[in-house]
Amino acid sequence: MNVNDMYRICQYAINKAQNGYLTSSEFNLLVKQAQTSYQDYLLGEFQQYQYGRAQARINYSQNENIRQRLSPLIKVANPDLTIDVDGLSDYPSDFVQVDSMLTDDLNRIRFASQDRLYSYYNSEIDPIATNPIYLIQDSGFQFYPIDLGTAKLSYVSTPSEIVWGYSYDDNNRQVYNPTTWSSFYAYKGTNPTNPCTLTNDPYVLYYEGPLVLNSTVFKTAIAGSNANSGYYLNTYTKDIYTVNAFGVFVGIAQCATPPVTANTTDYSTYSAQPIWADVDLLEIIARTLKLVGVSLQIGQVEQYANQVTQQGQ
Amino acid sequence: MTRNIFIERILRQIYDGQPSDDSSVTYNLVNQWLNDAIGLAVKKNYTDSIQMDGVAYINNSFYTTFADLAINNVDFTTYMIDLPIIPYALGRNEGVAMLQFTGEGKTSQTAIPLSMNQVAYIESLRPIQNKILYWIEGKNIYVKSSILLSAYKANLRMISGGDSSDLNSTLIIPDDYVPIIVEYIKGQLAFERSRPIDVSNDGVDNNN
Repeated sequence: MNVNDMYRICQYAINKAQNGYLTSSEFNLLVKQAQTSYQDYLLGEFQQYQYGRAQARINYSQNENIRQRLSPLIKVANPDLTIDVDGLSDYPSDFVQVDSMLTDDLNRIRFASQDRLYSYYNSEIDPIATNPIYLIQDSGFQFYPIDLGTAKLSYVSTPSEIVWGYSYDDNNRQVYNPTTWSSFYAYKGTNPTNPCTLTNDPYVLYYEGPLVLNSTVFKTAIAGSNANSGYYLNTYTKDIYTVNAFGVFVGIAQCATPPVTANTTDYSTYSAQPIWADVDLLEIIARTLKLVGVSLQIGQVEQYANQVTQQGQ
Repeated sequence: MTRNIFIERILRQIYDGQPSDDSSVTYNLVNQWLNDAIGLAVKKNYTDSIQMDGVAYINNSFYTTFADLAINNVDFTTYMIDLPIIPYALGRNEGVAMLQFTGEGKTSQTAIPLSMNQVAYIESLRPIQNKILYWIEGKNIYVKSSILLSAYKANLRMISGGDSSDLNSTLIIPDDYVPIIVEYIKGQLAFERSRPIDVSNDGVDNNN
């Protein structure tokens, strides 16, 4: 199922009695919220916790099925987290929640709440040197012992945005445009031979090998390019996933503003496909419809959405 | 069976399968309870032997030999040996069954154990020639001898359950007494797991 199918299903449910219409921009806005809502549901909603029992009815990693649903969002930090001399390490840029935290030799690093730090730190049965812990802080992890060096992090990431892109037909109506972002348009003047490859031209970014959004190399390249050429590269730093071994983007690089001196394609109408499995997309559609139903006060749509999200498909 | 394997068995039961990476019952924690449990099993063997044979003894399977233990001089005729664990409190001194000294290619006769009352008595006597006496006191063995023992090392046999500092070492408990250990540890750890946890970081020690 692609983003166009999702949009059409929403339109069908809303527009059946000619009592509503969902614009593409509204769809893009609502579907973004809907997939966040679904992710929250899979991670375990706090509202379902009971007194003294912090366990949601549906809970992340509760079993293989739920984990499979969430699998498009589970990533392994690559390279491993680097822990500085104070025991601190930043979150990955798309970080939501820890899946597992391990040492180089696959021993566990346990989570410790702040009020148990003293207890873990001073334990004689499980000395901290051989039983490392981490604390969650505002911008990253605090590890003990602080000289741990590196940590293997598996985490749940934020989903990439779903975008229904379009072009205009002869009557100036929006028509689905299945083209997705596939390259990093950070060049000047005419297109490079391969627009997906970043060359070391002084006016463009250059990077080979796995590209990590938060890496120093990447940030330096952006800063340098901005300074020299005035590119709006900072608008390109959203939702970049992976690059293959040749430094070619294979994920989605969304941007709000095209490069000022690059080609003149209207990038704002390109689509971004959902990363979820089809079985999850109906849940996301239902959550989109729930928001629409509330907005348009369509009882039947709300009822359908409630049925899917609460009783199942 | 190594300590690691035994501990893994216990953890599987406590966690109904493989423990997750946030499990609070650790290998080291189970190992600590294991020392107590071994004591319980040994004591059970002691009482079993009285009930079945009418004679109090500990089966040989519980004993371990420790070799080359250092000897420290306390005074002119008294020496001290630091033991790996406090011997089990069975009988007067069943915890350590045999003590011998080796060095310079020689091996001594086995030393003669004393009860605490006998220690008081022996202190009022003149040293017995060519005899080595010893008594257990906490985690130490004291040795009384007119022979100069400083150049020797001590070998002894005691009930220990093995090396508690090495989880890869063999757990020295015969299989017929393992169930006693299992039941004891399960009881302690199940109790720990069933206790309410103070989940609020509010400075108050409340039980939910």
